[in-house]
Amino acid sequence: MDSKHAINPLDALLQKGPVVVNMGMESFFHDLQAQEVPVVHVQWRPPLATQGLLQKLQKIGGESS
Amino acid sequence: MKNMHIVKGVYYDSVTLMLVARELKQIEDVREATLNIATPANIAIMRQAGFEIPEGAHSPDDLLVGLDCPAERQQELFQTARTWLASPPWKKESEKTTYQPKSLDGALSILPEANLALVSIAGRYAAAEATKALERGRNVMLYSDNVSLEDEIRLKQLAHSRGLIVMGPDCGTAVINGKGLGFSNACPTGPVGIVSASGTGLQEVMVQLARRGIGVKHGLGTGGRDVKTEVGGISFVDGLNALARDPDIQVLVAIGKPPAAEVRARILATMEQSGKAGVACFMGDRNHPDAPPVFFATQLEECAQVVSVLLEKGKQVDKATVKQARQALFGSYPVPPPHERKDGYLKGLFTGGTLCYEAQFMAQPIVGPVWSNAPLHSEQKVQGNSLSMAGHCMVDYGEDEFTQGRLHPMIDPSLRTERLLEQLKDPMVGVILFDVVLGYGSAAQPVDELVAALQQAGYREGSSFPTLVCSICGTEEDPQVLSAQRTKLKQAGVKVFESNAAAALFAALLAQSPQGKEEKNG
Amino acid sequence: MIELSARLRSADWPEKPVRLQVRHRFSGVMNLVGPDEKRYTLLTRHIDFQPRSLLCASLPAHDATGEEQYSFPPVEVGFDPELRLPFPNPRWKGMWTEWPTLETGLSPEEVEKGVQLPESLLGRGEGFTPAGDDLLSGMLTSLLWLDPVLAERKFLRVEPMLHNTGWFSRQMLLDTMHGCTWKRGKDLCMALCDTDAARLLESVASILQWGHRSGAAWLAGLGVGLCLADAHNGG
Repeated sequence: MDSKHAINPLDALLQKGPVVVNMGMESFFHDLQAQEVPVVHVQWRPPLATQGLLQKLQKIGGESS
Repeated sequence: MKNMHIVKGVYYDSVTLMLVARELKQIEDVREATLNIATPANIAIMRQAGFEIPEGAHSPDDLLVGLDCPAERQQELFQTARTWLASPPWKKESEKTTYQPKSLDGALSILPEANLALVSIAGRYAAAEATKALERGRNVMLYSDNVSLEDEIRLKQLAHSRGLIVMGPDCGTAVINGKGLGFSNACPTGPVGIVSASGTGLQEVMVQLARRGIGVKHGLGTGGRDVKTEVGGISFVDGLNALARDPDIQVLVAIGKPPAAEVRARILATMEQSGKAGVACFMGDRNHPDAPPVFFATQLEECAQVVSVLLEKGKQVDKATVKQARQALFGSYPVPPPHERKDGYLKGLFTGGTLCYEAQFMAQPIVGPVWSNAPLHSEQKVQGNSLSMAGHCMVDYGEDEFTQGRLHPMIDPSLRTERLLEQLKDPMVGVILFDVVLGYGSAAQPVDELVAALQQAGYREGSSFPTLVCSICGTEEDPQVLSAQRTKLKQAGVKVFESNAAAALFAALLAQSPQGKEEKNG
Repeated sequence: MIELSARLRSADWPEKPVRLQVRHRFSGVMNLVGPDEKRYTLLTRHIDFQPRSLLCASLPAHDATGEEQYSFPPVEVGFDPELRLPFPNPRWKGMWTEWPTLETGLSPEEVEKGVQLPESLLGRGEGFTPAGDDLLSGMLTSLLWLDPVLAERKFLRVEPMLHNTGWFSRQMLLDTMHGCTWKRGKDLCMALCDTDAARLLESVASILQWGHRSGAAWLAGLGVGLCLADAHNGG
């Protein structure tokens, strides 16, 4: 903990209750919605095909300066 | 005609694939439809099912769609499958017209107050996403399995250093502030806080507490490996400490298979220092004398029973009262009348791993050695379809050997149902014990297929068939509704219990041979 | 002379009657070409507003195919295609960073090449507007918005090569170069400047519903431009 006053993020989770990013099984997302848990579902895809492009965008953008 | 269609570079979760396959099978002309990610295990299974898959470089990022239907309809039905995958017909219209982010960062931009990432993607990608979530200050529940031990240790150390928790890998169940994540039952919230290294163990204890009118505020999962020496109980101890700091929690509960000695010591020390009463339930453990404020249980319902006494008596509780409550519980378990006893073996078929473990622990002292793919003692381990061997056996269908390329049996119990029906026809089998786990995450209709098959087979109670004994882990508030499932099973002639321990004890007593008899076939 | 049942017009729709000829007719949308070779569009849904378009109660009858004089009663401006935007809210960076990898029908290699040499995307891909053109339009939109110098450098060579793609795409790209865009795109850009997540999600969904993959490609392009501008401006 950096500061005596900052609340530990695990304690914050237990105090506030779950606010969820769901990644994978969409049925878990629906179950959380049914329990009125704030949740966003990620339509996740394997990174292999896409990772290169993002890195290159950073590089190209940086080089353009 | 059986034909295989391959789609390169896509990802769909396994439940979506199952649901689309199920929808396709409803179409006339479709004899078989199977959708799988192209892992070596799935390729092998689909080849075995008669689908030709060309040799070559298949990646787990490819999708295999196997269709058995007339040749002229192959293309059209394949297109139907793709359309349904992209936009499932069971999805609400409102969901189709909103954008779902494709990345953790995209999701966090929409929901910046998120405090937990629930990760259930394929194991080989899971650690990377979990790391990202931790680096962004979010707790992680890692449902995925096939995450390496090295990754688990690294993730948990990272989480610990930042005051976060990683629940998992292979963590199926958690409850936070009364909200269930993954496989979880609709139970009341209340003054109990649980940390569990076992998913169905947590579910069973919560359900048994709910039957006693007791609620759970938090039930944190850790994954089974957390209590092994290598991981050292990082999440378990961090979880207990966090529950100890929660003023709403009066009783702490620790659940799991017996931990490594040094981890056990850390867990017990944490509980002793918590200032709260506690129950340690390490299933199948040798009996530990109660040492207030920590009491011990070796079974799941017993754990709930002890918790209820601790809550009722408060700080005044003494060892004798707890002992009495335990004995009252054990005394309440139904015992079959002698004439109902069956010749033949006891076969257990489980969807819940911990329930399988507990059932072995209950049955073994009564029937003798129980063989299993997940045994109490390693020398009783059998591989593959261990039910076919002579002897008492219990199989956990949630073990890796059954879930490679398949959904967990709590989501799709069809394989377990198939194997159960085979056992029903086996003259060497006397008693069949099984579990039905209800709740969020589990199959919507967990017993329908079984009940229909039993009717078709002409099964009735008291006939020459093996006796069917079942435990249901669930509540009236669960989506599947406990009483509805109980009625279906009872009408089919199954003896239904609402405690796994009670069902296992009853089944074992039914199968108990008069002395020396088990030598007959051995 | 054809009388149109106009309700609203875009700010750049001529106020006087114009001579137009029908080019494409879809359900609810008609594209016409004017004497200046420019595209003019008649629409029936507000969400489809774009540069030089007129929202009508109904489209002219099917027999209107030749060059005709079109007139309409005086109507108010319902859409201004010109983008005049404040800066996007950095809160959405995680969101726009994922757009370049959306499924557009183009390979990551094609997109990557297009970032270096935008003209390589002209006319590339299938569809009424090829995905490459949609992507270019999106990328140009965000670069003109946030990094006009980089936009000019990247797109200097595109204009003389516009003949490499079809008339409709050409019109779209020329509009983009003049800082104009269609309503769905403008709504999204405005949502990016706001703090309302629901508004942003709705406007993204609305774009993705445009054409088969046109919306996805435009969005991918917008994301590419936003990421480039981010990196160029030091993150």
